[in-house]
Amino acid sequence: MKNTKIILRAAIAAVLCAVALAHGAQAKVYTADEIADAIRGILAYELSQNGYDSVQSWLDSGTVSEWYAIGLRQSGEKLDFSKYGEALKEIYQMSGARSPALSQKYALALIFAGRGEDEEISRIAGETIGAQGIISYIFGLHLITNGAQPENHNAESVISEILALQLADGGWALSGAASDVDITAMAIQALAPYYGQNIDVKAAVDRALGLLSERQLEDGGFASLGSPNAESAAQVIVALSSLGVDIQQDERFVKGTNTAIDGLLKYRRHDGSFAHAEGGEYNQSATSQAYYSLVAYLRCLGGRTPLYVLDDEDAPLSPGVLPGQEEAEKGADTTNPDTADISDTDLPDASDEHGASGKGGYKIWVILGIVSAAAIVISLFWLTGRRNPKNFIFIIALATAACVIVSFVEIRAPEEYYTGAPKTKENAIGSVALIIRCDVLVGVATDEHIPADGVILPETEFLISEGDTVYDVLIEAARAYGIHTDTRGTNYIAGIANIYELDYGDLSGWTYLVNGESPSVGCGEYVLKSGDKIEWVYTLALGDDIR
Amino acid sequence: MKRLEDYNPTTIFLYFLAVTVVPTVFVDPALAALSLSGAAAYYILRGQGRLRDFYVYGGLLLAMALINPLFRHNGVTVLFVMGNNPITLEATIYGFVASSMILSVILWFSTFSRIMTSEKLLYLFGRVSPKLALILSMALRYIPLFSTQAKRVGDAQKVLGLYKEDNIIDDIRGGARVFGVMVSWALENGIITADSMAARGYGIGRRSSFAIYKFTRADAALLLMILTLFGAAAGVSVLLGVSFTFYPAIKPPPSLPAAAVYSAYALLSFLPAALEVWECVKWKYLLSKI
Repeated sequence: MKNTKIILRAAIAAVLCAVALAHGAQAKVYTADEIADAIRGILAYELSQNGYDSVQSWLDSGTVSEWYAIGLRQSGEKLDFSKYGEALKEIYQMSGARSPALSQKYALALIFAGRGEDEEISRIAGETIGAQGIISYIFGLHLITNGAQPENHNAESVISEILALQLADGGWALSGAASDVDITAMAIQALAPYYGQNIDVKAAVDRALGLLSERQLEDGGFASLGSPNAESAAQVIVALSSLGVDIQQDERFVKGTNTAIDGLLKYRRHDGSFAHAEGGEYNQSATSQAYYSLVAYLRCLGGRTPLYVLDDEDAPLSPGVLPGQEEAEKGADTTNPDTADISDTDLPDASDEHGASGKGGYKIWVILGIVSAAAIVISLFWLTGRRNPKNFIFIIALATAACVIVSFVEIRAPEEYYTGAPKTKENAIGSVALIIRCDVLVGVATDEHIPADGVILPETEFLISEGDTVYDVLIEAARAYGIHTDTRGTNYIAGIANIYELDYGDLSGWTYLVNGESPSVGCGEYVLKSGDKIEWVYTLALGDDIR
Repeated sequence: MKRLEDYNPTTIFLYFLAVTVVPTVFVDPALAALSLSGAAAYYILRGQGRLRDFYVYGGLLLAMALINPLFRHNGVTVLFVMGNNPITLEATIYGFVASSMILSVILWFSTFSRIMTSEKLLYLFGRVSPKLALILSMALRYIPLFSTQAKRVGDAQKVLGLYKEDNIIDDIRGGARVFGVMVSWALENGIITADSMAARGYGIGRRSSFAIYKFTRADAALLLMILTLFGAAAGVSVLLGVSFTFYPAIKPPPSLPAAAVYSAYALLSFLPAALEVWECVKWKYLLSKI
């Protein structure tokens, strides 16, 4: 009984802490209803300005901009995109000069109009990726994420191109060495679906988020090219929402009492449209970007896919975002008017959110398995009458030890470990050459696994970062080219390519040379400099036969 | 026909030597499996096994098998990568083969120690080296002695209320205490035994031993059979190079000589179980005629 009370008290304390943390920021939190109101205001304004009485008729006319079309599609409302799709194709075919950006925007809109099967899309992706710098990679990646299969690129290659363009401060820019908030946010939007799967992407995005957090202004908004504006805030909202991070709750993006939503809504005009600069006039791109960024944010609150990842779900966002829906919504919502409460209770942190689904996600399941196994054993002990508390302490200690081991040991599937391509390193300080050979065995041993020419890896260049050792480069080569290695710690290599020390006599084994010299330190301690040439050589006589 | 344990100690000793040497020298899944099943069949037929023992043996087999791939990373079929080292299918299979081989040897020796009484050992080695025979018989006596004494100490501890058996932690601590007691007891017992033997005049004169085991024709016939089977299995393996390759890729030996080795060893391995069954059938048959 006493124990139960203590546990109960601890649980209550933990919940209180969590609640206190959640409310610690004390910023004004816009509810989902308020966001939906703003979205409806934008659509109502656009409809009245363009002279349509419903969103469907506006869509059918084909004059809707691609951005509105994507936002409308992702709002999950029951809208018919078939006419829009046809109109889109027609307009595209009539257009004369087609820049890569225009083609990509068209292809993306086509996907969201429900024509993702068109062969045209993969063709456009193939022609345009890389044709116009960073932007063409970003939108190319959106196309690939949504199923485009260009001949010359895949998701990995485009991701590595984007990562290679990341600047030293963690952001991206159209040109120059100073990062731009908009481009950085757009790059994050493209990388977001790969955040949980690729450790390089995760690192790059985390750095970029750090930069964006730094660049956030006191009013919660963002500036591009030195001037605060609505579009920058909108892009950051889309980026964070794509990562599944509630931008009103993440403390990195709460400045004083302001969030990026404040930073965007301050540009909202009395008629529902948005201005580019504070107090300015209606601006088309500011309004459309505000529109889809708020849709993206509602998708994030509802746990849906990122804005630029088409989901098959047809369920409308809650609350509804088409003009004229507010009355019906309000009528139904009287029981639970404050939908933002939902976002209060779960505070998604970027790393947690994605750690579960991607790389290393198995660990959570293994730990859950261990915990449930421990629970089963405990209940068996309880049921069989062995209720001495020491039994339970022992089982819990055992389960904890198992969980600790599981969380420290990194287990990867072979496909995941053997990447097939060398890592791209944005902070490379140069390159080194690596050779792995066992030519002393040619003609000596007849085993099938020994290459006929004695060369396991011909001379290959590898990028190195600051502090990389001979060991690091060997492991990178092993991962990139699927070479078997057996390492004992970081200083001792027992076998490469299934050829082991002591396999061919008591003095046989692997040794390494750098620039033809045999260093007197372990391979995990030899720090490389650019231009070094590493040779891993199999020796039959403690290294005397290879110099 | 007699049970294996009724034969001359020489025959019995050479049988156990032959049956354990083959799978330990030639590591091979088929040989390990034959050795394990032959040993287990004999073990069960002799009524030695309790169900609990088999749980322990099964756990031991699994643990030994799974530890190998954690330390051996050779092999071309990568199951997954732990840290930077591959965990391979080949190493896992080798682990299972090696652990069933070890387990089979444990089972053979557990039966061997029951069959080879100290009297038989003295007969076997008494003439060659009386000292060796004495040491062997004392060493073999020591294993059951140790376990009886451990049980006694444990019971005494329980009666004294030093540990309750109702929880795991106290169980382990109690077990450790009993083990500690046993270590000092073993040292003390060794000295006492030595003193006691010296007091009785051991080591003063030349030792002799007496036994009435006769080497009969049946012994010779069985010994010949054992040596033939062993010679066939080991000879073919060595001369024709029948060996099972585990690393880096699994490659079974050529099937024809391998079949010869396996069938010879199968006969050798199931010999005691077959004698046991035969004897049992004959006994039942004779009983039915009364």
